[in-house]
Amino acid sequence: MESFHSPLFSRRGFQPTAMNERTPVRSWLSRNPHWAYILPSVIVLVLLTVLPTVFLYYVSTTDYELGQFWNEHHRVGLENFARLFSGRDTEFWPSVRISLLFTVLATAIEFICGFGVAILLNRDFRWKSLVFACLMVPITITPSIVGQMWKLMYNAEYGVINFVVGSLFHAKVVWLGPQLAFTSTLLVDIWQWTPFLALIIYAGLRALPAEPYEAALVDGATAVQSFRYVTLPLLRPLLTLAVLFRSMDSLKLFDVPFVLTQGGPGSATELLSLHVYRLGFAQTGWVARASATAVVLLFLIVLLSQMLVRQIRREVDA
Amino acid sequence: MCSSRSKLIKRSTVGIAITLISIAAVFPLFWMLLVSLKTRVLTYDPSIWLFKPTLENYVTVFRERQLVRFMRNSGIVVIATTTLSLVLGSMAAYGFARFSFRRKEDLAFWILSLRMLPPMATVIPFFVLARFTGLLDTHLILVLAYMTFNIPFSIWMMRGFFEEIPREIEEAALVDGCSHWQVLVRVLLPLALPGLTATAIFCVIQSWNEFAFALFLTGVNARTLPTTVTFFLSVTGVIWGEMAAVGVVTALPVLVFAALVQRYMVRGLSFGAIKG
Amino acid sequence: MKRSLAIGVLAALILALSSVAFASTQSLQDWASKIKAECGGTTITVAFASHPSTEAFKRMTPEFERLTGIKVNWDVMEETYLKNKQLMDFTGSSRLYDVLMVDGFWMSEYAPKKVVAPLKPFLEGASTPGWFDYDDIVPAYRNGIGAYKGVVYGIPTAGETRFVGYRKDLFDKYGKTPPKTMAEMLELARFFNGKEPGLYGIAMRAQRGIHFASGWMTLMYNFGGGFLDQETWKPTMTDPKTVESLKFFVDLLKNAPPDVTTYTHEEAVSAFMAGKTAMWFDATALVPWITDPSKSKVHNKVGFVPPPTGPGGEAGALAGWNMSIAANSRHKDAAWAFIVYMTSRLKAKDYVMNGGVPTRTSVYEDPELVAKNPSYPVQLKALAAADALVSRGVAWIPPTPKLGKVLDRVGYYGNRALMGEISPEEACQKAQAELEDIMK
Repeated sequence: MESFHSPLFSRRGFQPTAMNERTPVRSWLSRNPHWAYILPSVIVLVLLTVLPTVFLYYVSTTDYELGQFWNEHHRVGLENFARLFSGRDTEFWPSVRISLLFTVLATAIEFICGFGVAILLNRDFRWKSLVFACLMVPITITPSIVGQMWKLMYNAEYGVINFVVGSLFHAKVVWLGPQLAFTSTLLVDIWQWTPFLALIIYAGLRALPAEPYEAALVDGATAVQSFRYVTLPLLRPLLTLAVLFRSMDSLKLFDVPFVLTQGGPGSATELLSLHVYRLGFAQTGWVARASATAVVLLFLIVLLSQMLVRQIRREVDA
Repeated sequence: MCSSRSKLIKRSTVGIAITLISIAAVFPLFWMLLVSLKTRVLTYDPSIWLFKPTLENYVTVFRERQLVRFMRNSGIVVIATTTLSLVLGSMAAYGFARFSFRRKEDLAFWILSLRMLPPMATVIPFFVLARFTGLLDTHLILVLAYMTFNIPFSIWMMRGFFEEIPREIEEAALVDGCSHWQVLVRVLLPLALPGLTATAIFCVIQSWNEFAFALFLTGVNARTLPTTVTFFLSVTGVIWGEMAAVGVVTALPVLVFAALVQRYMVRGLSFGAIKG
Repeated sequence: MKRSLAIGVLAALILALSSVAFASTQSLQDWASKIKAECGGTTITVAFASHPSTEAFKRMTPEFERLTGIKVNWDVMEETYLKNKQLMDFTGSSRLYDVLMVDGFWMSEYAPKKVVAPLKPFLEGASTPGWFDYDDIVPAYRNGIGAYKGVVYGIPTAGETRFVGYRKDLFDKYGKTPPKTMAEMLELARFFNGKEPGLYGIAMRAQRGIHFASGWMTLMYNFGGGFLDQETWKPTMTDPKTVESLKFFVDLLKNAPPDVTTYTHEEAVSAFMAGKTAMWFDATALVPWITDPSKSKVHNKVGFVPPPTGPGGEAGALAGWNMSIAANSRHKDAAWAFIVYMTSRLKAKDYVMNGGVPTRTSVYEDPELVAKNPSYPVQLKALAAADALVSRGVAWIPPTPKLGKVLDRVGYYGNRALMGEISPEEACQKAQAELEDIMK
């Protein structure tokens, strides 16, 4: 599909005389017909994202603070980055580690659980649409509000989770304490996004063509074999895409941990995006340092997504 | 005999597993509903599941917290941003799906990567931008901000759906004298309707629930529902009942919408990434 | 004889009260019609924190709107967001806000950055009626939270100092008396910790960052310590007195519920109200909660005492909220009219009855209100302790524009010491290094 040389499509390109009036724009468009469709989006996106990003880079090389007049700032070169990488910002490296760990764990667990749930769903049973409606609840519900609800449910003293755990095992768990806060935040993320992955994978399973399975059956393949050699390869592009979306979203995750733990206790759940917030907004107002951290976050995201996207395109085009 | 028994065991295990998963998925919503119907004292007692419900919290949030206004704001922003993103996104997706040009994949990747922009990185520049253009605290600034993630998402989703549609259909239309534009509007979009619906619902969910931009870019006039959560974090503690009431009210429209288009949503979720 | 005298005094008092009331209503009307002529039809937007005083002001708003014809738009949010939005509104010159609710902690940052307008021209202006009575506001509040370097930027609306709440029933049961010194408090906390099933010694705020710093400050000055030298503005984190106060704070909180490292004032007071701790050392503004039967399990079992003295002598906290005029405001006169009405002595009782937190001497001494809030006399004593600190030349909230940064970093390392990740000494050393960088 990559090189698409249908005569119908190239006709326009090679027969410019078909166009009556030949303004420069028109002639350019007739040579590049795709731009007529793509350009509006690209213009909007450039205005809305490139300008802000450039501004972000600029701010990251200044000493600008929240509440300062804009003309009071000074250029400081790469000082903000030096502060981050040299460890003078003591929370930076831990928060990079926490962010990456969170992303890897969340994506992996949600992926595996989601796959399991999708396989469970991939059969006929009663109440199926009700089950689907249930699974859509975590996806559709507002994260900032449900994060608060989890905070109430996690509460060690008057939370419903400890009520259930307490009456079953006579134990009291400090969910949001230093030892468990990371796991608890992860649990909320798993709750929120496993159904999403399950539905994606389910949709993928449903969209699979029947022929390869019939062929495999004829060849005498077992269920495990046909899963390994037919299902997985066919699903791969979709799975990679799902991993891409999930990992990017967990890297930039902000609202749930923000309302749940605010990055605490200590720095137990201080993801990079929370570190940006804490530096730039919460109390300290170091907007420039926050921007430098945001640039690092951006860089991580671009790096990781580039790897995954390359993978996807290879698979789709293969 | 033996096999039918093991089948029965297997079936009931699957049934139980699915039931448990469904309960786990719904539980926070259920608990939110419960809390929203409780009086303040009962909020702190998780052992009480049966009680005389009160609508007090709902009355308060509608009467004193101007919830209707925030719902209207949310509604305007979501509808505008979703419509614009779908129009622009579908056009661009068509461009990507049906034309070949140099550096196409680079451009596609660049657009997708924009969806990954962390809101914390763009909030400050956006604020300044909004200030210079006088757009602060308007619906428009949120519509624009949400387009930064909705357009890339729409392009990516719709491209997959368009590529799924066999070219022959389209070529036939072109032979019949349709322009590319007509092909897109009259042939491709109707065929990709399930995908379009799925894309729409995700745009709606993402915009309806967005928090960071809404918090920093709006003040009084354009404030949306998710940021109302900050009303209830008071110095003397969280007002759980009212917050839960707002949560329920906020969740309902999207839940209903999602339930209505459930089938499209699930089908659309394959992102057109499976090639038959 | 005695009786007739009493009746005479009473009659005089009633006469005086009613005449005062009469005179003020008169001038309230005059004032209101004057304002209505000047600013009627204006809409002002006020950015306030979610706080009981905000609720009280909101309840008083319809009357204000009716009297003055000024329309009030409320933007209410949690305090961290509030600070962000106020600063962003200022930085962005979006001029959304007219009246700001400003935490005493922010004043030393807002004033030099000129986020808020100096109030002197307004206070001395003709639009300020006699019944506003600025001098009635407790001096410690006026100077401690509403002013920066002697210039008034805010009218204190919700004051707080800190004191100790204790469980009378438990103290009686074990024959203990409430603490007078820090050493006694530590001893009592150790005594009660685990004395009964599920009972801990004490609850305080100690969450990472500004909360920990604030909790630490509750008792730091009683050790003579401080984060900064308030004359040279050099960090004094490694001063032995500061280190000792942190050690004490960490030791004290070993007798707190295990998740104390995540407590803000809210969780701390909730733990005390749920009967989980024998003592509580925090803000006076939270007392109405503790004594509210619908919220508190211990509402009738608590007593209050002023902050215990420490090796550094007497000291008391001084914090609270102000109303200020946004320097960018387009409607400064209407904004001032709002502040005058809401924070005046005339309306002070209304305000407190609606759930507001007092800052005025007339309220603290009002017999009817004292009968309803028995902790008022103890609060005044605690305020006297706060005055003692002021007389040592130390402001409880160090007035530096970099305060937010200082508290955030100090509270970060202190919290790590509490979690046992580093020793208090190490925490102080690391904080010293960072503060030196911030203050230079």
